[in-house]
Amino acid sequence: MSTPEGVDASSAPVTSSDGPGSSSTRHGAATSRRQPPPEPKDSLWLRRAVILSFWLVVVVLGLPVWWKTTAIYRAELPLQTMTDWADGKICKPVFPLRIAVEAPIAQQDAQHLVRTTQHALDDLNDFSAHHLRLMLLDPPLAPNASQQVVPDGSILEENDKENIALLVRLVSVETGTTPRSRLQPYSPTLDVYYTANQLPSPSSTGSPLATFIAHELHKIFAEEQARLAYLLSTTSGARTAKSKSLSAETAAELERQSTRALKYAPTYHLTFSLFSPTYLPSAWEIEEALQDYLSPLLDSFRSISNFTVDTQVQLYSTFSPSMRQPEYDDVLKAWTLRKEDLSGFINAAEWPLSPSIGAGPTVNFALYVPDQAQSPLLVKENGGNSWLVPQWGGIFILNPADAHEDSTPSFLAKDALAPAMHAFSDQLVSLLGLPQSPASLPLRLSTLTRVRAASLLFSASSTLGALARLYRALPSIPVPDMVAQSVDLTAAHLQHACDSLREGRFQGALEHARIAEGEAEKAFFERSMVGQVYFPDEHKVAVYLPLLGPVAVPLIMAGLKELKSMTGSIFPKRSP
Amino acid sequence: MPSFLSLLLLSIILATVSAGSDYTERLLLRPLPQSALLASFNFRSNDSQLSFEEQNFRYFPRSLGQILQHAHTKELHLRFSLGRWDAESWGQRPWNGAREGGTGVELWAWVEADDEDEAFSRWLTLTNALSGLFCASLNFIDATKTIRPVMSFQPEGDHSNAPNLHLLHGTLPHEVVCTENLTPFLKLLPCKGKAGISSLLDGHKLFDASWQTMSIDVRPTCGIDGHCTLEMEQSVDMVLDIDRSKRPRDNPIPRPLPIEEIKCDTSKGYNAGDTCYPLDKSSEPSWNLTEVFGRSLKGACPLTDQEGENAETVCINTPPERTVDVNTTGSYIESRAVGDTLRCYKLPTGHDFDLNLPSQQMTTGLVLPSPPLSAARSINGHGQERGSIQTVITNPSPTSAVEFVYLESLPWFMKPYLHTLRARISASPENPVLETYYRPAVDRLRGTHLELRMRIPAASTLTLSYDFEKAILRYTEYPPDANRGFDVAPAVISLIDPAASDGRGQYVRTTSLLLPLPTPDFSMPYNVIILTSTVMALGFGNIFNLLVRRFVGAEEVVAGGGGLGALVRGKIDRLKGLLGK
Amino acid sequence: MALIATLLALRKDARILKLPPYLSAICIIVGVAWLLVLPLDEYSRNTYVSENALLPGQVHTYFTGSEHNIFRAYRHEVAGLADRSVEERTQRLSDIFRSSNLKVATQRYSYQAAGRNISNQNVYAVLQGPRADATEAIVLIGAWTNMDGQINHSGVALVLTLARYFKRWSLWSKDVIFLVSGDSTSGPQAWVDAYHDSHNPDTIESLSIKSGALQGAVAVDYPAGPWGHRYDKLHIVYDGVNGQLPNLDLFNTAVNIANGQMGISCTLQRMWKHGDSYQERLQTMLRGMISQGLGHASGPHSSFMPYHVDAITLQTVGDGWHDEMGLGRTVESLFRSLNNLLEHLHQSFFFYLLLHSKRFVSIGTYLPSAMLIAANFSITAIALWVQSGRSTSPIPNPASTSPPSTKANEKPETTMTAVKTPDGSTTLIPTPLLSITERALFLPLSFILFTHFLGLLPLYIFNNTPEPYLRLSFETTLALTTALPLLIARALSLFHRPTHQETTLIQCFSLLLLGMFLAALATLNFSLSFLIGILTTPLSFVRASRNRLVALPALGVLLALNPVVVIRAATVYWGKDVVEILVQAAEGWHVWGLWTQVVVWLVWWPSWFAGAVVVGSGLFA
Repeated sequence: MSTPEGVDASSAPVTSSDGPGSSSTRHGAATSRRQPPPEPKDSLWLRRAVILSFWLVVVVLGLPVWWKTTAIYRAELPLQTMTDWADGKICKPVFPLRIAVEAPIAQQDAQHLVRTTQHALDDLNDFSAHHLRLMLLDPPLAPNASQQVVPDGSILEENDKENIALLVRLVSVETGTTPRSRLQPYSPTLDVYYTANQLPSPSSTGSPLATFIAHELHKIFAEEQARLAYLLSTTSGARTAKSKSLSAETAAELERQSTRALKYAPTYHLTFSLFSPTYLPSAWEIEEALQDYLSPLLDSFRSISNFTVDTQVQLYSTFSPSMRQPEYDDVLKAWTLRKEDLSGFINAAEWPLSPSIGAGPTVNFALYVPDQAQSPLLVKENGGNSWLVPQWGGIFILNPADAHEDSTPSFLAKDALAPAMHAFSDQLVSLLGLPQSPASLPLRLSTLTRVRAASLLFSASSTLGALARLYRALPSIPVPDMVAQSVDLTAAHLQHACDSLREGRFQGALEHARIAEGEAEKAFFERSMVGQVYFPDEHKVAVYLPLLGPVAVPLIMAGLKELKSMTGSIFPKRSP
Repeated sequence: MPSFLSLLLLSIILATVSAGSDYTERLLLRPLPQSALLASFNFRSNDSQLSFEEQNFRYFPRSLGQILQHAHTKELHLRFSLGRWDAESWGQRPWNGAREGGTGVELWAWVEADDEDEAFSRWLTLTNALSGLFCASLNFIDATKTIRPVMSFQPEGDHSNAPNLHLLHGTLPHEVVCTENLTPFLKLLPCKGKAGISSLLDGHKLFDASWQTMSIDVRPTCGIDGHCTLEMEQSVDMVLDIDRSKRPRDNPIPRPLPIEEIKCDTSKGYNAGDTCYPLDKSSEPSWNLTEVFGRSLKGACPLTDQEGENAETVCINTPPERTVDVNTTGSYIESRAVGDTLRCYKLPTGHDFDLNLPSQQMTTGLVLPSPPLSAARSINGHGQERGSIQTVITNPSPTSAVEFVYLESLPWFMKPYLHTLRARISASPENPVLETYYRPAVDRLRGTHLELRMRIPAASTLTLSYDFEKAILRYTEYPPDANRGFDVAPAVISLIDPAASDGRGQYVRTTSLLLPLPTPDFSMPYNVIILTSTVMALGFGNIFNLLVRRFVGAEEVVAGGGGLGALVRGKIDRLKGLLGK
Repeated sequence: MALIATLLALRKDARILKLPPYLSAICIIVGVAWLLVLPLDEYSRNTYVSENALLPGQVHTYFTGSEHNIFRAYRHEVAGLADRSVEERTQRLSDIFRSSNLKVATQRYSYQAAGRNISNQNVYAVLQGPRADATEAIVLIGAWTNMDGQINHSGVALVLTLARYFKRWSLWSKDVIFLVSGDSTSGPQAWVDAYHDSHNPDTIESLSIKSGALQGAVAVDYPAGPWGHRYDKLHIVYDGVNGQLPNLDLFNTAVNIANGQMGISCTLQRMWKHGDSYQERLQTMLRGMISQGLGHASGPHSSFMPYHVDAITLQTVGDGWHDEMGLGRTVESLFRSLNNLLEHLHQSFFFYLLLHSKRFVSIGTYLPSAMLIAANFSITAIALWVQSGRSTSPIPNPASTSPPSTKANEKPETTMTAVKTPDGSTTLIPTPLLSITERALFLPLSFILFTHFLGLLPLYIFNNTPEPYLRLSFETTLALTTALPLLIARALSLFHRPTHQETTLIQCFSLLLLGMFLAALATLNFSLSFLIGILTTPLSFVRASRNRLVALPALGVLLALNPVVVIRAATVYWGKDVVEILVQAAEGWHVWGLWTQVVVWLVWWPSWFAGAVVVGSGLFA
């Protein structure tokens, strides 16, 4: 192994003349070359054990630990389910509306009437996902409303009571044109006036009254169907299959409305601001005005969203210099703004219209009192003084009532604010996406409930799909457990929402969809996921190569050597 | 001593204006020695607590109001400061130092919360929201920069109806206050710098000042009738160098004057055409508002009262002999107070207003009141491991002793040794420390918080010193400019004065410090990994070889010597064998 | 593994002991050669500014016009103060500073060194930067008297004028401190000590005004009288106490501004003309090394280095056409650059050798030469240790392929010992190989200890002898140190003759220590380590031998390289008065914290002494 000792030892006897012990050695050394003596078994096995143990430690302990400690944690996500949600494979939303019929007539006639009306209705309806089910409500005189046989034999339970979309009341009259109907503005009730002779005879299959009612109902829910159909068609996936075809102009109209409306949120912040280019008016009776003109509307919306209201007074708020200044129009006898300038009317840089703190979007309502020199200020094209900024809020230019007075009033009383408040409430309604028809507010609200629920459902599931795609696309981003939890929550609530839709419990559906949406957003916008997106595994290996390389080489070499020797010992090679 | 009186009265006047009206503002100008000019702006607006809670904001800015409600903050004090107040030549600080902060940003607030954790989380919401509002990095005030003072700060407002309040305090000494902080500040004002004294505030001049501080104070005040109002006070105090700010903005370079314009001392023997010993000008420089502030004062803000004390929004505090010409097209009213050393003006609405002070040889000067305390703090010693901090606090008053609270908020990587804390008073053996509150730091979680209640006898100097050790940060904890050093927040000295005129108290702040920490070479880590891995690999290789190598006795080896020769020979033999086959 | 075995085998090989002297020689030769090739273009680099924030010469300078008139006036003022008392001078300077609205303070200090009393006053003024928050400051120094003792008329006047001029700017983001120190060495030292509160308050006054952490300092040395004098070049002095150097960026910035912006050519290390040829580069480098090795304060800036404040002195030299305003603008531009700094200077090198104002060698390149020199001692030490462990009787090397030598013939038979190996066979091994020779360590160790303690004596004497007695004490030390080795050797030989092994061990230990010390020193003060290494090279070759033909010349060489003799020779060569040097050293010891003499008396001298004694013992054997 080492040169000099070998030299010394092997040639030592040469120098030593005598020495019995050495003679044999010398002889042997001189005559033959012999291999080193065969290694004893135990040392051989010991060595192999050593090498093996090294290998074991490295493979079993070292590498896994190293890999684990330097790995990026990725929580498991139910990717398949997520994509299925996104593709709408799991939930096909249906909107079964219950419509109760209250008829002060004999049981079987009523049932017959209902049946025929249902037939007529089904013939009219071409949108399977959204379908109206008539059911007979016992006349008020009936003792128990709970156990009630409905036409298709199903029992009308107590809890379905509040899920009744519309109540059709048959009222028999003698005067006036019949049949005629009246929709009550503040309750979901449709009164149908008829004369006795219009009741269908048990034998006849159809009757004018039945068809009339069917047409009325269809008319009432036409817009809702259109909206839902539009919603289904716009959202990708298999569910577009059975959506009804929309005419181009309705589609365009719905498009316009949906772009104008705000995204749904459980809470909206309403900000009412008084802007004035001068220091007048510096005060307004806003509390009372809000009390009188706005609170009722907001209360009726409580079932869908909550609202916070704040107001502010901003003086010396001038137009942005970029905007074209208003110019005097002799025809209108007023200062006018061009329609194209209306978008730049709000001076976002100067006017403090920052969104309110807390979750939910802010809806701004700006009341602008122009300077005396520029009053009255109108929109050139239509002479109007208020307009709506899609998904942002509304603006109302309040020209002082008595313009002949030489200065703007320093204080705006409640009644002076009335027109503005009315304009604002209209704008609010359309900003929240409330449908124009039917005339009854509760009906419109319930329609809104269904539409919101559906849209939330779709957006939440598409968010899930996006998250799944992200997860697949970027294998090097960390995914904390919270994301997985949120995803599971989302899926669960989506399922609930879907079920309650199917069962016609729309309020519950909205609740679940709302939660699902929130969770999905939370999962998607998890902050820690974008952390080390630029630290791929190659980099990691490169950093630790100086350690891995030198350690690996001797291990492998020794391993190979031993293997060779073992094979050698097993199949002894013929010596030449 | 008329001027001293005037100052006392001034502070009283300025303190009492808030009482009646909803919005008041006032500008006090005071020429200081060395051609400096102190301009202190003050704006107050009140909203009733009721309308505040209903979020109907009139004078109170909506953005700030919502933040306060959202963070359940009952009282707020926010300061942006720049530069140093030169007490020895400028005298007592404006507002007795109660409306100024340490260099950078300082924020303290009383937050309503059930327990400490909730209070802290609300505090975080507050700082984050404020940083968005004021374009300042207030959101960097985290747990390590937050302390809970026990003695230094007292609430100014009336908190009878708010039981469990928590006081939190945070500073950002490294924050550079600049124009982008002024713009949101002005937006909070009802007249928005479009009218009234706020129309004078111009970023360029404000941040060219020798010393300036912006403050925002929100506090509830309740009357006897239990009717509470929320008072918001904004103030800007600045000391302008008149010569410097008179330079036009398009030509700010202080080129040497032509020799003709320099007054030479002809009495000198060597005085000649090319040699000129400059005389320092003894006369007061001439100036007017427009050229000093770079803007013109656009009349009064009409929201202020139209008559009475609060209507006089511009006051100038000069010796009576100083001529002050008013230059405006509108109608104004001048009124003089406290021995004519204070002249106040009711501004015209809608017309520009300007004060013009010609250059003038003065015979009398204002007697500026001397500050109650002066403090200087410095880091001593050198080296990477440890250092010591020394604070010298002087009480100039020949008669009265002063009692005060000294507050230090140190970063966690600066570990003071409390046993080395020494407080010595010149020429008296007594120990000035009356009371000590100490909350030690926890690495990476919170900083050190030290409060000392001390007492200085009249006309003596207190020297406070303690040693500290510098921690070594983790590689990722160093900021990009690690070699600059780390800023240590100024110490706050709050005087305990039984005869305090208003509820604000008196404060003195030291300058902030720069603490150099040992910094690594930031290109190292990769090399270190490689180096260590190589060493480990070497060790491993040796041990492994020792374990698996087989040793044989020398005489057992192939004869004819081992080593290279033998190797070669062996190879040759094998070759032969192969060929032979 | 195999290597270790081989070494173990080689351990007792006779041939191995013949190597070390050659190895040491090779180390020395390579080390010197290494140093000599450094000035070549292949091994040195062009200087560059690596701190981006500095932006040297990017600003326009406005220090002209009427400022010149004011400068002349101030220069007259300064000239008027030349023969006044220190108090008057301080008073007047403070007034001038105050007249330009600065905060002024004074500091009186006094030192005792070599019986002299150095006492004087510093005046300094603080310009509080409008953009500054009192955390950082930069210093402009004008010493009242420069290193040669001339009054720094124009320099001080320039500081005064610049103070007045800087005050008008609003762009300072750091405080600017203007310091007029009483003299060039102890004044700045007293000031900077007090600034960091590491002074002795009894003799040195504490500073009443302080500012933030010092980021840099620039001293102006322009001793032209009241009527001015146009200069030719700027001489940039950068050596600090104990051979510390400022960050190379500061030097580069100064050169860059003076050269590029102002057109004033720069020079260094008193190389008044520098053609950038090999010889001149080498000369510059050697001068730099010598002044670094001496470690003395070379200007007002030197005192700042120990506090990690980078500082340089700008010195005007020669007759040319550049006037004071040029220097003023240079300083202005330099301060604007320093004002830009966001961090403490850290980007560039702290260890370097300058060959030319635009050429340098970094530590990585030059360090090996000193390390090689230091290594040669360690090698010899190891060799001596091994040698001391061998029995004196020669060991036959049966493996030697050479024919048996004459010595072998003289005694043909060697005692052999039969050794039984575990497997029963027996081998014969020469007995000497097996015999263990023990080393007598007491005398060598105690002797080495004694010599190093002996070194403390001259250290103390020279640092504390009052000036009049210095010459006497020096001459006596000269005589004593020359004679002492022989006396000691003789004394030893009288009652206890050191055996050959003991002398070997003595030499071994002293060389071992020397090698270690020099290696460590090379990383701190390369030049000093290198110089001492060169001067002590003979120590690794001289041996104690009875042969006078060998011993006497060796002794002669050693006596010539006696540290004291070397110092004497150096003073003669440079025509300096030795007392002056000693006084400066004493001042350095007491004022600047200089530790060159520690190295001389506790590292160099003991090793030389040990070597001399060893050789002497050979003579008396």
